[in-house]
Amino acid sequence: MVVLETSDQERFTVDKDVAERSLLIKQMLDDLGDSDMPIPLPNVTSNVLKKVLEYCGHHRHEPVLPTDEGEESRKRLTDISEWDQKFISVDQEMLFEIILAANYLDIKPLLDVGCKTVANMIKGKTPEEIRRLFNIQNDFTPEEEAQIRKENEWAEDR
Amino acid sequence: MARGPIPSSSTTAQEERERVLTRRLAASQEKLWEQSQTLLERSRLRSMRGDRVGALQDAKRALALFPANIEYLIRAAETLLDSGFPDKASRAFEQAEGAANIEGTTSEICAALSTLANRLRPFDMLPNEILATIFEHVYADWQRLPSPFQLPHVCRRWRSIAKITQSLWRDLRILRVPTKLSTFTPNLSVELRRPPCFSSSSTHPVAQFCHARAGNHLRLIKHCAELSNNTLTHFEFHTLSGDLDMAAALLHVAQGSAATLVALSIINNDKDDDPIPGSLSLALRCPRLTYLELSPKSIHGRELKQLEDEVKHLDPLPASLRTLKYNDLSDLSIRRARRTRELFLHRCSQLEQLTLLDIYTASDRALFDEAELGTEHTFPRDLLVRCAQSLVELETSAFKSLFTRAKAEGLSALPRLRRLRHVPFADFVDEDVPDFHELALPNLKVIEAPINVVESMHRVPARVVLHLRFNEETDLLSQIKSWLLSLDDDNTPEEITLELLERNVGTEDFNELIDVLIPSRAGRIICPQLTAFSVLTRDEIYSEGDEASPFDIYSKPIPQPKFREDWQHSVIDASRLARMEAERRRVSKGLPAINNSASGKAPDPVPSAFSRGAPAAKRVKVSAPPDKAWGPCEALRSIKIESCYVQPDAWAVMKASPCRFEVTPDPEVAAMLPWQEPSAAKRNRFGERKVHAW
Repeated sequence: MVVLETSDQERFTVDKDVAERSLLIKQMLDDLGDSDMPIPLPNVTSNVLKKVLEYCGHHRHEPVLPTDEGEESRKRLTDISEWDQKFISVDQEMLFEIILAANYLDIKPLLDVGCKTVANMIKGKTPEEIRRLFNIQNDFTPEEEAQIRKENEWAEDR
Repeated sequence: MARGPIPSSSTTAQEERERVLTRRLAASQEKLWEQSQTLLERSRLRSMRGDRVGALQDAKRALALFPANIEYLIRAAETLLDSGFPDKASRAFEQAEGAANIEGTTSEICAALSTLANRLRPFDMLPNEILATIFEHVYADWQRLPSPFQLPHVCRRWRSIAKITQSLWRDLRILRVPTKLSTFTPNLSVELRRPPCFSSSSTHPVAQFCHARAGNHLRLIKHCAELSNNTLTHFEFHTLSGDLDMAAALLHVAQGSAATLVALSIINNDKDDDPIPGSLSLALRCPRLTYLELSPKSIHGRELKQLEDEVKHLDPLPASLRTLKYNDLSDLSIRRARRTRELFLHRCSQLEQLTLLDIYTASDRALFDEAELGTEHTFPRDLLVRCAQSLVELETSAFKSLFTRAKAEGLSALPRLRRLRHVPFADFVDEDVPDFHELALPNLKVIEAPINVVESMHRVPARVVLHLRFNEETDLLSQIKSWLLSLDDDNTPEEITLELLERNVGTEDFNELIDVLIPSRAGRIICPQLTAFSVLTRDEIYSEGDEASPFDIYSKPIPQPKFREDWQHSVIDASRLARMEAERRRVSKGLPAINNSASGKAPDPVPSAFSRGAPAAKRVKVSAPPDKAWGPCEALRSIKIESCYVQPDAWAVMKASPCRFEVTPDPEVAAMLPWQEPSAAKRNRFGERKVHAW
């Protein structure tokens, strides 16, 4: 068993194979050897870690692809499995927190699920719709706006 | 002893006034806060009831009430965000941020502001590299993206990240290039996306397309090349006619990326002689090239001489080159460009895939010229011998001359060859059968050829695609049938596809085909290794005379069907299956079997593939839509159809079916198929045979 400590000082005791879905934690465990010391995760809050561990627990028996080798196959697979879809159906804030945590903890498949989910939210939307969805400010200067209009001319003659 | 100043009575009074003022201010702020809370609550309720206008009015009033107090502003922003007004929440947040900058903040306020910022602008949380990954996923599905420049138009940060994420811009495919740059031709398309031919080798998912004015194509292409920072990895362009300026400009774009290009296709679709000077020598200058496809219809005259000189003095071909497709050299250029081609191919000892489609074109004139030339002129002398150790796939329109030539050069084996494809042309059948007896093909897994070529092979490959025409004098179906019957049990294919090359196939022909599917041999299983049998049609199957719909073929009785467990079957006898399914249910419920109870015989064994609800037949490849035949296969949910044309009554069947249909017709036909019942007018258009790019 491995003890993980979040930024808000909450401790989680989990099986080693679940924790080791995170390559960061795996590396730390390898470095520490056998130790009961809790592993501090200063960048992750307890509510996010809870979600992340739920994911790791569900996928605990799947092979962990080495980073380089997995890169190609991960990118090719654009579909998100049914369980993952359900898992990632959270509010925007939590979704982005999960992506950040997956990035920090180095859990590539989870990072992919998160990124694909955001990509799916973006797909098929106009820039204005994207801005509204994610509350992004249009910070272009008038000159830049003119340039964009010029670029758009190519696409507008249908 | 030092003493502090004695407070004067006026100072005390002043302090007292300030205290009172602060209290009043606090009280008024508290009151304002309460008022605003009430307004916000009302706004929230209105929002829940769907009264967006009222809700927004209340939210606006609430926001206007707030004084410049950081904590209040943060609370207001949170409440507004919860109420579904991110714009207003943003304004409150900005006010709070501004106040914090002026007044300074405590660590609690800092934390509260940061949490609020994350909620309000989630993308600000993400580092650039994650945003770039998200962009890559967005562009991976190009069909849902209306324009290549959507993401860079969202905000400055997105724009800068999209621009520096070069992987978004590395695959460039240019189709239907306009005739002249100056010509206004609407609705020509420039596609910037991963071309299908590169799909196995592509490392960068790029996906964009747009329709543009003709005159804008080059600008657009140049712009994309700039965005890629001249690090394009995949580049394909088709030219239509003699616009040398355009061709030169496109080549120039490709040249800019010579150091990084992995795949290059230069296709000249015009019948006229349109030289694309420099395309071959460009390929030779790409050190990382693994895929090269050229259709230089005419390299001739002065240019040819120049090119030959150039090729002679160049370094050897890129050592990385694994696939070479050399398409569509016309009869004229076979003669004129032969030496160049030889020079070029002579260096290809590392090739894995070779396509040579330059022997015949679909015209009689080309055949005539070819006959005049004689086969000894058609291939470089020792081409196959040089590639023999590396070649994995070979496509050609003339097996015999290629192998005869190679044999004369001492070729005895192609040890890595996995796929051998005879390229069929509409008006010509190569009846010459190569002599396979002295050629070892230990790894051959796929052969695509007419039956006479296939039956001349000692060892049958795992997958056999038989090209078939009905209008020939020889009875190919009987020939196939006897071939199947003659095979030893340990030397049969695992998968057979009949590829119909006809323009139209009649129902009678089709019925004959079905007789071939299950040849009976005294009750024994024919081809015990066979797991799949498909029929691939290119065109319409029409009804002959007064016969019913051609799709009635699916109810044709099949004699003595014997299925293997993992059989994926194309044509099933509906009535028999239904009977067997009913039988299975009765038996599973412990009821006596009906059919054979009187005679005392054991019931026919139910084909196990279907007795389990056809678990293995989740993807069934069929030539045309099935009808009720699929009824008993309750587990069947997905049916793949590879056919150019689907008849209206078949659409009706498909619509009524619970199965998911995956129809993969020819891409050009697919563009015309609106995923609904095709109209009569469209049917006529499909009747025309598509001429493939080879």
